[in-house]
Amino acid sequence: MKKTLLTLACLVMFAFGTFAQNEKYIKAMADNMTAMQNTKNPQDWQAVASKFEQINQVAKTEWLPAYWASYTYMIMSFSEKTLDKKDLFIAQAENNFQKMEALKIENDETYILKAYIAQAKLVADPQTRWQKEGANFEKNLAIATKLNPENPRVYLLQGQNVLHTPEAFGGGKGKALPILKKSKEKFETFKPTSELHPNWGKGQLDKILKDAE
Amino acid sequence: MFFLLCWGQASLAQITLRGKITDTKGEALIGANIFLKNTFDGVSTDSTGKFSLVVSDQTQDTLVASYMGYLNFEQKIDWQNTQKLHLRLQEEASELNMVVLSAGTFEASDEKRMTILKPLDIVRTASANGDIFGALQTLPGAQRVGESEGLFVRGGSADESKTFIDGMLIQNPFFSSMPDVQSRSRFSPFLFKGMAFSTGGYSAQYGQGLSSVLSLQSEDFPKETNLNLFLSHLTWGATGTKLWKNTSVAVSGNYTNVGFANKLVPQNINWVKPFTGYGASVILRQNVGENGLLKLFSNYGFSKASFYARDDKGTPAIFALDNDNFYNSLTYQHELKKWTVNGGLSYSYNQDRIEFGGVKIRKADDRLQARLVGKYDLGKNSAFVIGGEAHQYSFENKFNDFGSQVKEEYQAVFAETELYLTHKLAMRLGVRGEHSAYLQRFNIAPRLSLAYKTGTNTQISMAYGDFYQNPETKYLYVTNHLSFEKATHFILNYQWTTQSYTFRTEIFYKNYSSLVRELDNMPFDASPNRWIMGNNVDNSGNGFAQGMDIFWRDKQTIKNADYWISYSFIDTKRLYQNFTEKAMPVFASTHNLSVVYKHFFPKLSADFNATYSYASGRPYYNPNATQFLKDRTPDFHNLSLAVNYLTTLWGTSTIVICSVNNVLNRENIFGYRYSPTGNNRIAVNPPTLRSFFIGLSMTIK
Repeated sequence: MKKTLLTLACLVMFAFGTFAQNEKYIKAMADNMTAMQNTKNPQDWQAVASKFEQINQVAKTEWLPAYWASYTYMIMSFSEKTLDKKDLFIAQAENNFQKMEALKIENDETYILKAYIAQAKLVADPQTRWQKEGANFEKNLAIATKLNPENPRVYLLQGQNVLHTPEAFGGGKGKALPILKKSKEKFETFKPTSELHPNWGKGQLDKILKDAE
Repeated sequence: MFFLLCWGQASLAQITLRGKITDTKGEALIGANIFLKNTFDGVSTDSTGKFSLVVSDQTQDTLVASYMGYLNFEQKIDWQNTQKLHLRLQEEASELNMVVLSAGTFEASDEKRMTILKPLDIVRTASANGDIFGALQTLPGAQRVGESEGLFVRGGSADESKTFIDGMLIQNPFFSSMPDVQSRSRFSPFLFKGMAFSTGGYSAQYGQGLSSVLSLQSEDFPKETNLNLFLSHLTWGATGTKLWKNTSVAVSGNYTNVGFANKLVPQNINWVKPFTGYGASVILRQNVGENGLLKLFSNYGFSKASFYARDDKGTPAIFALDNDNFYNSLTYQHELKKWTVNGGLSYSYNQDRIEFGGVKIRKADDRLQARLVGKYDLGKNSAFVIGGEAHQYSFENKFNDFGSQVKEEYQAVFAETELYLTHKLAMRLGVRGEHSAYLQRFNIAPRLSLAYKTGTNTQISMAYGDFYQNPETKYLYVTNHLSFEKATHFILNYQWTTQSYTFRTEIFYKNYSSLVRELDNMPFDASPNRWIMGNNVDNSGNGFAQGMDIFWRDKQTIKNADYWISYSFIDTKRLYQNFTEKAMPVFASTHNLSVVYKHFFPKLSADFNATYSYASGRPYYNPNATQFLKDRTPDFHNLSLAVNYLTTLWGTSTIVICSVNNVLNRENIFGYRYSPTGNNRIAVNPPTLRSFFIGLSMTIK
């Protein structure tokens, strides 16, 4: 009897402990995602990215911390000026992406992020990278579209890409607008799985549409 | 127990940890993350690198500091003394801050970051006309020679430079030699993803080149299924590429006829039948499992040309050449856990049928080679390489009914370690052993290369090595009582690189020994195609080459533009072959300068390139002069321009290429050929002065 009670107590404590840990995880993530909404300068972004990495080190079985760490570093690369710096951030984004891949997570969002990283690489040094990274971008985006054609970010990235491709290579504003509008439509109905799941891109899209029209 | 635990936790007071985070030099790291291990709590440093972290739960006592590009720093906290922590983070070794073994080597690669050139830079060099070797001539160390093909590196002859594709030696990288006419290389620059051009001190993985090796890495998988059409006023060609999940096949064919082009531009040569050529190739790629890649490359070419050339007596005679060339290689790469294994097998065959002034000459060679290399990953960029190669080859030379043949079996083994002792100090130590069955000789060649990073963007490196090669075939026909020729290289290199600028300077000394000498005391014969009579030759020749290279590249100062300047100074002399005294050889020039400028116009989708090359006069043999090889040709100047324009034709993306070689129509003189009496001489000129190229490349998806 005593033994059973003790076991029960242990189980309760364990469950409580896990639950508390999970609570803490959700709170840490939610807080950091709020912080991401309020970033003002590169320093803030760096803090957010580091935080995601830290959460990833504790919540080792969750894929979202690594996803968001990868995403933030990739976004940071765009605001850097030199290729060296851009590549440093992209490398960090890839590094975190690999941590997520190690968890055997594959879904539309991971392929979208992979395509986005390829795009970041391409934008950093288009002349030498368009051939390789352009192909990488197309390939990963195609897989994402197959997995979930309702994901608005697929069309956002695709539209962005077409917008910045010279007309001689089948790009331009005229071809990009319908794709971007499709993304807008999809955003109307898109619901993320949870508040911690990927839900970026709407603001970005509105800005592009405003500039393009 | 449960209550006890709660009480225990509550009893601990809040403690504030304060301090700063810097790098090892004491520079503040802004936005670094500091937290207790395995918790979600943490803060970032402010703009002065300072932090203050409130800790309410002291069960975890390992503090972690992290910052991008630095190694995580962990420290146990002494809760009694928590004020003024100073954490120094060490920079993480990465490709960006890693020292590079750079002495003697120019690399072009899209995959590696710290290379000086990209493969595309090669294609875009105006004077290169799409030929890899043309572009290499604009790099320091390469000497400008206009009348024959090959790489002449730092006082070395073309014979001292070897070309490798995926580790396999290429017997005939160029179209067959014609008297005083430079031939192009056989391989399109688009076949390769990277190259390493070594002007000395190269790795133990390569041998049989006293001066230089050019190592080309072929593309892995093509990007997409497509059809590429290439049309120019010289060549028509098509390449079809088909991509499956694990397999790709590219088949191409081309036809070249320079007859039309020769009618457009005045010719210095009286052509009988202008150069025509047919070529076909098949490239196959096959993934084998997850970690294996098989590459098959087959290339066949047939070409013919005839024109009035000058024979040994200086009188014009018809030179007619028919060439057949076949190259076939199969290479396989397999990645295991720590090992990467590369294996290769290749066979090449080349035949020239020549008729020159009524004399029939047949030159043929074939080569079978096998190569196996294993690379063991020692971690932290370091690796150990071990391998070997075996060649079986033969040369045949038939002069009317007289013929001679050489059959050689050559084997080599090599071992090499590349050690990154820290991210600032690297070393490559290798040794190569070679055996020649024909010469019945064996040699051991040590190679050493060191590099040390002196600052964020600067490094010094050095290289030393012994290099051996078989004597030129013309001597092997007459005797096998010869030994390897030898060169020893000493190279010191300084490099300053940022993403936008590269400054590189190198000083070198190269010592030549046991070069072949002819001992018959015959009068000097300047003909490059002379026949070796008798076998009175030995290895008593020697020589040296010393000098300095400077390379400057700037991708930033001018918007959308990129330029490089390279300069080489060389002082070289040798006593070898039929030289009567120690002298500067005819293929060397003291000063070589190249300026390459590339400008991209994004709005026009056009790319403008200009190249200017200068070389000081080269020695030539004047039978009337009192001093041997003291006369110099006039200086060499060449200005070339090219425009590449990207557009859409019939819904297909198209590149239009236009170029003008030798815009100023300068009559460059590469040397003189004297009549037997020495009374008359003829200047050796390029076949054309100013010349044009127009072509387009269309890719249909």
